[in-house]
Amino acid sequence: MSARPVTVLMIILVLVADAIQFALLLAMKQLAPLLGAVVSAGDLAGAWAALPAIAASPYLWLAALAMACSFVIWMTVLAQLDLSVAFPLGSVSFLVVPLLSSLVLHEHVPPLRWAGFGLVAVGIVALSIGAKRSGEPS
Amino acid sequence: MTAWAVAGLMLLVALLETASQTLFKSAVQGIDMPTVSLRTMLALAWRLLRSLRVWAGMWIGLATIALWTWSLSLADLNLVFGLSSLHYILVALSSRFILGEHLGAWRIAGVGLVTSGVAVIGFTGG
Repeated sequence: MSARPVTVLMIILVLVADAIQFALLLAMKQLAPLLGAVVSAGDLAGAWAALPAIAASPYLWLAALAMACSFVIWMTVLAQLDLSVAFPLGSVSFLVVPLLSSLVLHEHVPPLRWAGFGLVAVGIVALSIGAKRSGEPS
Repeated sequence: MTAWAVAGLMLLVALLETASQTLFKSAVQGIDMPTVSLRTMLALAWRLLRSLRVWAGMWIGLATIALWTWSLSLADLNLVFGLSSLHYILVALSSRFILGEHLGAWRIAGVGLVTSGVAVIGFTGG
């Protein structure tokens, strides 16, 4: 098994994970008035009555679709890599948004935070080497 | 919420996440997947939908997300984020002692670096 398809899958997975977050955020914004009313009323009947409106949210369906995609991709990654390598590789997602916001939006990043990004990046390199060194997926 | 209560809650979240990932991995262990294509990926997912471990992992995973989101509303975001670096240590331990994976020096170094990096990013977050 060459490393390439898994690398591509991990990149897609990170993007899909961000898409899920974004879709859920939009869904929460859209449904906030409705959910707020249900919670403050505190009655189950109200929650049932709100269900059709919640189920009609396109953002929620988008999030569900993205979650289904991420399930298929993550299971494929796990079929190819050991969990001890695949799981920490997911931390790449922590680098994407802060790096983009500092590079594109020119947000100030304190030096210690850059050190954190550096540690994660070096860790990912070490894991990639470790994936090849200590054996094949079982 | 006190820092200790947050730490306890985050430990629970980390344990649940580790359980969910361990169940997922144990469900695909031993499945041979020589080629990666859209067809083989969908076939794998379809096959796994009949696995009890995968369903257990999914429900535990959903509970984890709910608990995590709830803890974000209770505690400081940076503290929660920094403590989530704990996940990497627990998953590595579970990989070694439950799934029987071999952790070489490179993997241990990688997990250590990622864990400390995420902790630093969390605690320096604004």
